[in-house]
Amino acid sequence: MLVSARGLTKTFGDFVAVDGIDVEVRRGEAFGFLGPNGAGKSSTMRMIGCVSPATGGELRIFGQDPAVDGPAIRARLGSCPQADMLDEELTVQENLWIYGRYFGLTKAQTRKRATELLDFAQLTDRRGDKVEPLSGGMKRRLTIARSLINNPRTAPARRADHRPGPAGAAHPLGPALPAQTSRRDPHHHDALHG
Amino acid sequence: MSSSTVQSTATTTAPGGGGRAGRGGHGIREPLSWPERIRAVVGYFLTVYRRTWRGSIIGRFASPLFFLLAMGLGLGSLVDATAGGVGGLSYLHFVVPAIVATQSMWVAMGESTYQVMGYFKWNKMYAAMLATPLRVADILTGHLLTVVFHLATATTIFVAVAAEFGGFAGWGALWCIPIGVLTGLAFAVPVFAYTASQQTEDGYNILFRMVVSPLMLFSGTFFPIAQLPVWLQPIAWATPLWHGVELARGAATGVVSSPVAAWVHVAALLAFVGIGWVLALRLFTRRLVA
Ligand SMILES: Nc1ncnc2c1ncn2[C@@H]1O[C@H](COP(=O)(O)OP(=O)(O)O)[C@@H](O)[C@H]1O
Ligand SMILES: [Mg+2]
Repeated sequence: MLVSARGLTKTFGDFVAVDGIDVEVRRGEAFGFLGPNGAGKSSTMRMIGCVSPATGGELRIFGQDPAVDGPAIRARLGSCPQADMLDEELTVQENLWIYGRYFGLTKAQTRKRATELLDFAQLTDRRGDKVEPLSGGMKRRLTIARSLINNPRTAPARRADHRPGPAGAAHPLGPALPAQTSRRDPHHHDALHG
Repeated sequence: MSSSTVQSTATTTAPGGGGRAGRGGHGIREPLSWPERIRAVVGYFLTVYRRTWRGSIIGRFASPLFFLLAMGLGLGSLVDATAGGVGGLSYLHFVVPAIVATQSMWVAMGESTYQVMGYFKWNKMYAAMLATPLRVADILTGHLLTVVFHLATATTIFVAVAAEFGGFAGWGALWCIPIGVLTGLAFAVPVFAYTASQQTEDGYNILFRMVVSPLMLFSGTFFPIAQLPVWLQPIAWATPLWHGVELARGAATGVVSSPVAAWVHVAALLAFVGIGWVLALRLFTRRLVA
């Protein structure tokens, strides 16, 4: 079991953003939350990503409690935030190198992994460029690639404009890749989306 | 959200998806030790510095030169000619250690206001770090260690340039380096906390105009605080700069009122750092973990 929640609740002051949801996500599953704006999808994903504490209910990720083992869980998650959160003054590959070090990867491991991920995100030819002038889609791909630097078991992603599509094997960056190079229907996706 | 809709598709594998455990692979990972975590954070800030150091290093050399020119040759020759210096010291030797401490305050302010706000609001690097095994305390420690590095570099350059131009009477000047770093931290740590509490940059106007600039003038930097009205003097005691100025001047000139006074100054500066740390950790956590 990757994620299991019982009565998961999030409140901001008096405001109830997430009202007692039950969720179970198993290994090998790709899972998405659907709902109108303000439904609490992002708030839920932030709790699952262990960056926001649950107000109530029970939450377990890899069987561990985020309130106790947040850093250990985050070490194994690939978390792709809604905002890109890149350092746009640094180069594409520097953004990856720095991130790998946060997970304790050695310099050599980080560089090797970054090379693979740049290829995966089709950013190899931009690796030495500053992030700032990149297109929005390229920044998004870099953020997604970065979330996989620690080789996670599960990769939560939040992206408001994703629409779900039918099942099928495809490139995990489907929606973020440019249409002409996408290896599949642009509406397919596999990561966890909020 | 009261119910959830399940959307299940086949899993796709990203590159390198071997079943290997340890940090490079999936599965259980050894936890990072705190030195590893802090080193990773410092690594980020040093990468940023590698891009920007050229711009700042020129200022680091220029500012002591401007001060020496204005204070030593300009004001100093006037004071020495009319009043015979200050308390037996030439004005230059009186003022230079104090300016080292003041310079530290300015460097610290530069590193702990807009910069820190930027990491909260603009590129959201603190938030990005918190999606990894890093904790708030690691981020704060790593960033403050980087500030220590900036303070040490700036102070060392200042002392070296000032020494070259006769700003110091002796080797006691070397004490100005650690004292400058401590004085800077006594500003940086509380101002990190202040920044975490602010949503906009508007508060900095008041901070610079009502706190930093007056402190530079009224902390015994350019004249002894005994020249101030009696009711103003206790205000100087309550600010980090006066303690830093007194320490730096005493160490550089060897003229100390008492060793006890020196330790009181050190304790006061450490108190600003310690209380600032507690506040900064609390306010960073409140802002970043919601
Ligand atoms: N940090 C916060 N403070 C106060 N209210 C918040 C905060 N984050 C989200 N909310 C509120 O919680 C509700 C759910 O937000 P969110 O989880 O972002 O929804 P979704 O992602 O489904 O659009 C919204 O009404 C939003 O305004
Ligand atoms: Mg959302």
